[in-house]
Amino acid sequence: MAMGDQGLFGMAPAAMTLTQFTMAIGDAVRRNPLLQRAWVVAELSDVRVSGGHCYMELVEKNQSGQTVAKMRATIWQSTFSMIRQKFYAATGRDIMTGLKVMLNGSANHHAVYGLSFSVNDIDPNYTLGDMERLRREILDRLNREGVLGQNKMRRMPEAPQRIAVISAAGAAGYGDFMNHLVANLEGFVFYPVLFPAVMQGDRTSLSVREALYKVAQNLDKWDCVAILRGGGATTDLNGFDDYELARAVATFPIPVVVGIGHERDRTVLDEIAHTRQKTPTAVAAFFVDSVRASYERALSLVDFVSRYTTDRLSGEMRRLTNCEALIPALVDVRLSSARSLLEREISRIPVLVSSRISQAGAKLDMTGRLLSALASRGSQRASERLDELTGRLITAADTAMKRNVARLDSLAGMIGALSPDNTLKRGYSITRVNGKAVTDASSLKKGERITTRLYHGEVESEVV
Amino acid sequence: MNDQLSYGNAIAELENIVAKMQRDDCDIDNLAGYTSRALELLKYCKEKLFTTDQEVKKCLEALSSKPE
Repeated sequence: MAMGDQGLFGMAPAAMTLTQFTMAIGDAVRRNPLLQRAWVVAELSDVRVSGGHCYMELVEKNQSGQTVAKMRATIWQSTFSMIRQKFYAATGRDIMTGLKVMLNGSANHHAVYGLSFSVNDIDPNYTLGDMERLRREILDRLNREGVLGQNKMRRMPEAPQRIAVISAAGAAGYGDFMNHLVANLEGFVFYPVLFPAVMQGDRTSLSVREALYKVAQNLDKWDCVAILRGGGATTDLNGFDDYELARAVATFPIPVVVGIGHERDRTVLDEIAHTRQKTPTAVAAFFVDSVRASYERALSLVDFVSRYTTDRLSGEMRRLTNCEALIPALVDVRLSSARSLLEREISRIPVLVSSRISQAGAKLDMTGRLLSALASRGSQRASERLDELTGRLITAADTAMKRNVARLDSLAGMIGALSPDNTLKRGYSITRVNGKAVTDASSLKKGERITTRLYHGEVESEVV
Repeated sequence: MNDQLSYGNAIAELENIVAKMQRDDCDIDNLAGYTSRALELLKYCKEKLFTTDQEVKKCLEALSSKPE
């Protein structure tokens, strides 16, 4: 204004060279304490590293996403590696496009390149907070839509062996996963198939969702899905904190295992996937462990069956042995009780008998009395009958006697005819040696004494 | 072994056998059957876990080599 006024009064305007002018701006910027070592929050854009320096644009957008402020920024080589490490250690992220950051730095004005922001420090907590807020928003929205816990509810098969792997083909993380899976010590078999996807940057969400879609085409071929980050020391995980991707994973019909996280950081996918592991190697270990646990369970079940069978059989054997031992004793007990019962019965017999006898005697007495009463009534008739019977008996005996005497007489005649006396009477004799009749003269020995029986008397003689 | 059997079914059947054995009315007559079935199931599980299933492998190879 003052210069203009001077001009109006005809004084030559005091013109500056552009250099002088830009230097003046530079001085003004440098001297303004607000613009030096100031904390500024902004979103990173067009981040690129060149010659050890990191160049980027700082932007601020309004609610509708329009850029309302923009400025170039640089992290010089001297501080870049320190800032990068600090940021990664805290957030698990590299300094990348899309991040919201709080930077400490100073405004610089260069005569040729103009105004820029020279970064000398970063506060990772701001970015953490911002990431957390973003994740919270996504999770809240999924929760409202009722799909937040869906994938966690999916049942992981007993032995997950058929694994659809979503990762970047040449990436270290995928290689680690495959090595660990295939080289498991037990020799469990797995069937991993890679569905390649972009695993970092802006295209992550769309690319991973496309891979999930391909997996879903043959859902019955897979036990589960493994989403693995590319690997390497510094990885951009921003792409995973995305609503569309989070929803695709949450609603996926088979379990999703993720290995994309970072020691100190979790993405939205870590919250909603069925199983979360820190690294691709840990995902492989998870599968191997699952199969091992399942196999050991099968072994222990079979072990139970065989142990039970053995125990049960030996138990039954013991039962049998016990029975075997018990039976003789039981038999003894039964026998002796039967014996004592028998003895008791036997001891009762004399009593029973005498009581029976006295009963019978009494009955007999009564019958006797009855009989004698009857006898006295019928004795007359009986004696008449007896006399008659006796008469008939005497006649029969007499007849039989006479017949027998006649028969005896005829027998005696026959016997008399056969008697040796009649033969001896006719002059025959019987010669005996030692009482035995001699029928052969040659049987006699010289000097032997013989006895000869005649009808009257005997003669002793000697053989000469 | 039947076609319906999967690893999960095999383990479930094993558990079922164990459950039956844990009941008081487990019949001695069934022990031999249980034991041989358990061993059969274990053999199946082992095959599933340790032996490459040609059918599955062929299937998955065909899938992954499909042009996109």
